[in-house]
Amino acid sequence: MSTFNDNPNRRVIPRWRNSLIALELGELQPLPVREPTTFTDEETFDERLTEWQANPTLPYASDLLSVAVVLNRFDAVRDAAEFVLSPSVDAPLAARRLANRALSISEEEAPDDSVAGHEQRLRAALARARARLRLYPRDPLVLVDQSRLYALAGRLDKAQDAMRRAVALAPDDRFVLRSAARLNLHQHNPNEALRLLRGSTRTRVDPWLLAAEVAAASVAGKSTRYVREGRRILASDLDPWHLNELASAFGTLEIQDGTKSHARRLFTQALRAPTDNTIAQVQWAERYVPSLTLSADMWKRPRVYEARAWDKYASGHWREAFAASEEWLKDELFASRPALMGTFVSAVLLEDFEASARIARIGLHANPDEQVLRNNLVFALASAGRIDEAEKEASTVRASHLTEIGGQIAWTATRGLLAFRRGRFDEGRSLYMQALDGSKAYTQNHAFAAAFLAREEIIARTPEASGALQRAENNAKTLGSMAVGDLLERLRRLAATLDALRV
Amino acid sequence: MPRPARRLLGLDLDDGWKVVSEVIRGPEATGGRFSAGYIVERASGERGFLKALDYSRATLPGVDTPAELQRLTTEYLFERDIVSACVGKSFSRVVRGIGYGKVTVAPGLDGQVEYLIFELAAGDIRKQMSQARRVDAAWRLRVLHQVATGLFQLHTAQVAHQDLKPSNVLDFDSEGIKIGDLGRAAKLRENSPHDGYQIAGARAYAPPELLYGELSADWQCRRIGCDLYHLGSLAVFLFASANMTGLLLAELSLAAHPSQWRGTYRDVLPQVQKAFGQALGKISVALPDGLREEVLTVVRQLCEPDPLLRGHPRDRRSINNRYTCERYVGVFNRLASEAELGKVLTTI
Repeated sequence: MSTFNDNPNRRVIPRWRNSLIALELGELQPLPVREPTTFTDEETFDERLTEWQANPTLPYASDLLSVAVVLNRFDAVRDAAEFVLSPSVDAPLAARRLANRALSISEEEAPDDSVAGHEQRLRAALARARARLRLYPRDPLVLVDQSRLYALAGRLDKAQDAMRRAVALAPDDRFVLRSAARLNLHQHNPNEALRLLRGSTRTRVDPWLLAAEVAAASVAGKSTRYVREGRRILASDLDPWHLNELASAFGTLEIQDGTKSHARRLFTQALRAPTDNTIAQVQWAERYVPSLTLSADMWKRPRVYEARAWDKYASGHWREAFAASEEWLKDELFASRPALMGTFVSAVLLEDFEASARIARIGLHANPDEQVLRNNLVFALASAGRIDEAEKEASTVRASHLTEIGGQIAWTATRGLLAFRRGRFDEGRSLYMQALDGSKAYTQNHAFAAAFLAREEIIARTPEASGALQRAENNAKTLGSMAVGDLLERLRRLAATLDALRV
Repeated sequence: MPRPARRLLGLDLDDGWKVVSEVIRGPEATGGRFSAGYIVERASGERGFLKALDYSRATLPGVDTPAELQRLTTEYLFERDIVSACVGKSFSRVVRGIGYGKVTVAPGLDGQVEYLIFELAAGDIRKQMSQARRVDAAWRLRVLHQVATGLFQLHTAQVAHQDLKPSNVLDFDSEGIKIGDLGRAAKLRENSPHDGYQIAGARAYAPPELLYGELSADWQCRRIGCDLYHLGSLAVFLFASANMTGLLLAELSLAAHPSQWRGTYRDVLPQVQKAFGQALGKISVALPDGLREEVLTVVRQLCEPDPLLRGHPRDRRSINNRYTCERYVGVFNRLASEAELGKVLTTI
């Protein structure tokens, strides 16, 4: 199992959610350029109302309700709405929609991204998106949603196709551009994300797009082009909600530059009306700017799953950390980090290997090339005793794609685990020792590798078990990791139980 | 005391017309109406619909009386001239004006009532739709064909109706359907009294771009494009019992409603387009199998939320005629004929 680390370079990369959720969260709200249209048309409303009262039939009811919906005036149309909804009328769906709006009956279905039954839901959602686009192909938001669904299914070529069509239809739309940038960042193509963002004249004036440009530039190893514009916007009297991610992105730049006082000021500005992304960013920034703290009311804001997962993990509340990571994954199904956290916490700290395998498979849907996640799946399956499945999955791991040292150490150790579970103890021990040798400079990875070797020795009831446990405990002493400590405590109990059985 | 326009019942008018009954179009209690409708009759038995307008609005406290008088007069004269022009061109699908005049019901200027008399319809399409036995797909398509024809006739005279809605689509029994009420019309290259209004027709039926304040400087786009949208909306009403604007806004979040939105129309357009797609889904299930694809295509083209893309794709490159509804006259005629002959499956 790969240990996972907090992201040392967290950036305010735009979240990419279903358009309905983005809408509910207020991320589609416009920058104010005019007063809303004043709506009154008493004459038309009165005429339709009188006609309906004189002719209580469907055409007059639906004509009145259409007018009422446009004028947002529902004070006298209840009778008409109830009439349309009555079973005896058998009104068309469109008329019923008007009646439901008049009676404030919600018809909007929240997108069902729940983790259970993931593949079937994904297929059904894709079929719905295709059907919608057959009806009306010129729908940029549905195209973005379709792109996201393809990304979740790991079909990135189709995700790009759909996104390109969305961008062609709405090249300056905030939601479309931020989603397109996010997709390209997901595909490790920050330059394309930057090209899209910088290609729109909107980016200079919309703080949401500017925040995305800052993040994409940072990932690409470049500087933002819009420092002056960003500062000017941050000093404007725009609603704090519109400014929060830009302030957060600029605060992150200040941390990189080492100017903590500026960072603190910007994050404080960001927290006036933050998104969950900003809250997660501030939580991340707390280590660099210690005087920053998240107030209690921040945890009540919608979808603060990422911040909560890290908070619960840091405080040793494994169950809550897992629950939050699952919510985080559900919220960002194509992101690998929540899946990495969920697989680790469930397998290592909760010993819920089935949950870990389930989360890993979901994460692999959108990230089929995420070898560390595949390693975690192998670990979970092997730990659950499903060795055949584990070996099958292990055969698909592309070790050459494990570019980071942590992943390489984990994969070596996991191969050791497989050997142990097949009864090839010497081979397993040798692989674990390789992992230990290779991880000396990486204290956390080293400590976990030692602990997992001890676990296998204990389970295999080898004579080396007590020595391995002792070594693992020695390694852990200097680390002071709550997670490693917890794992070792369980191993001690396991060893004691097995000893007792032997007696 | 009722306003002057409401005091015509029983009066004898020029050309032998007698006012025989009033058509109540709004609640009596509101008292704020300055126009009224009546049934008029001649000794020969000929009947007509009289639209009466008085000037009492101009004398209300706080009103700039001369300006208001001028506005009311201009509106009346403009409608009268348009109606006369249509009579001169023998438009078969536009309600015919058969007289006009003035009657005094009280001393002073504000006691004068101007009126226009039109041929009398049996009712509007909602009345026919309420009698289910008369309404089938063939009838609906024929209504659309005749309304499209009426709009096309107006457009050939460079007149945009701008206020097409179910209550203005009138049934003349054996003569079929005609478009009524040119009170909000506009004429190309002529100053129309409603030119200064953001929305010339009833707001509740207006295309979305006008609700959000996007006013094209192009007369064709703003005026004729509006008529195209209304024609599509009428198709939706006939088949799915909803006006397009109402359905669009029902599908839209309240935060994006024009009464709340503080951005431009271009800002909200993707949301409107998504609402449009959802609306098409609901319309689709109300359409007969054999007509679904073609009627949906027509509605999609006519009610396209982006006014720059509205209308038939083949007409989009035309400079002067890009919003013509000529093709839709043909499409609705063909579909209506096929339905009348039972050539298409018209059950839902």
